[in-house]
Amino acid sequence: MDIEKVFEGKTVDKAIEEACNYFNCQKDALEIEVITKGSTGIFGIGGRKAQIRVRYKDELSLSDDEGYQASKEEMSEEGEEGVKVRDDDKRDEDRENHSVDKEIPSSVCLDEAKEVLERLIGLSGINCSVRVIATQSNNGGNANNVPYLDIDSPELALIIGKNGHTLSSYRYVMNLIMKKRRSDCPPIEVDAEGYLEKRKISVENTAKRMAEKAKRIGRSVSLDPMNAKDRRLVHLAVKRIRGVTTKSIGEGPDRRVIIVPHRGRGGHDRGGNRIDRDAGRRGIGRGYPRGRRY
Amino acid sequence: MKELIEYIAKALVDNPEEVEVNEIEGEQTSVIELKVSKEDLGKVIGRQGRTARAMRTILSAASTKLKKRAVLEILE
Repeated sequence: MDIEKVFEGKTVDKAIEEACNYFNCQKDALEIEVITKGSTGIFGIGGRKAQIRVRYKDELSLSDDEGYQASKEEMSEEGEEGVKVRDDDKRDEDRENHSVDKEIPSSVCLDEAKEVLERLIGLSGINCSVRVIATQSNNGGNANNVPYLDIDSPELALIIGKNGHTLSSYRYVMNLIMKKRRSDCPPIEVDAEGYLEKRKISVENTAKRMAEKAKRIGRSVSLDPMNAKDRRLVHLAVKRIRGVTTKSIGEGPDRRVIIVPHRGRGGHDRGGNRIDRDAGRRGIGRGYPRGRRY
Repeated sequence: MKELIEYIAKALVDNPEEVEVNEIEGEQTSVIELKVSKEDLGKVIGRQGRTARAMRTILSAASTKLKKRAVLEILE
């Protein structure tokens, strides 16, 4: 059974990602035809969305059909909210999440970036070696074939830091320096011995656990502040779980995801991006006695 | 640590010759003072202080290695 559907996204990649999530499958399982490429416009004004037509080659008709139905229901259920949530973070992610960038850094860029990164870590007094990984198998947190840098060091823990903060700081400063030196250099991803993949899995697991918790206690659950990339992972992981929606609140470094449980059919929170907007009425928030939730 | 901040700052600003870094060593804590030209102040601070924060994070990794503490002060 083949299923054909048109998807829209800010970029072609976003649209493909949307399609992959929709069908719950890898990019490879889809036949993709680009209708319009889309443009971002100026400061997000006058941008056109990218459109793609996707044909899903369905071999395992029965089992996949179920998945298709489920995701279809989910889509209509979550409707605009789901889209809105991702719009919220899109700006940040386009800036921060390099895996979305299809732009491939030149080898000159990569070599120079490697030197800058080695210098930065070296000046921190930490021994390390940085390698340029030309093609990415599947261990860098993104399945695209975008080259990246990989750090190896006897003191990897120090380089990665708590929740990867130090690693992303190194990456951020390295990319800033590269941008200053060569304005044509796209952001380059930095991994440390498969850390990105490990991080991805742990963020997704936390997200799922918290979603279950939100459903169980019938209250919104707030996650720790995260960067745009991790927030995106949470949104995507929770999207597949029924009965909860995700939102991002807060600004800048304090921006975090909250997972909001639906309160029965149709009575759940929609619209408004502040969690405590009608907290009293819905019984979400501090000091409300435990009681009937559904 | 001083060299680290100096390297980052000089690589980011438009006037590298005006970058000035002083390290004031204490018993446990070092204070690293960074001075840049007025036009470059934004470059070392970054949007919502992101660059300054990244520098501080990297600095704390470097100082952990030395079993010390370090504070980065950006002087106006």
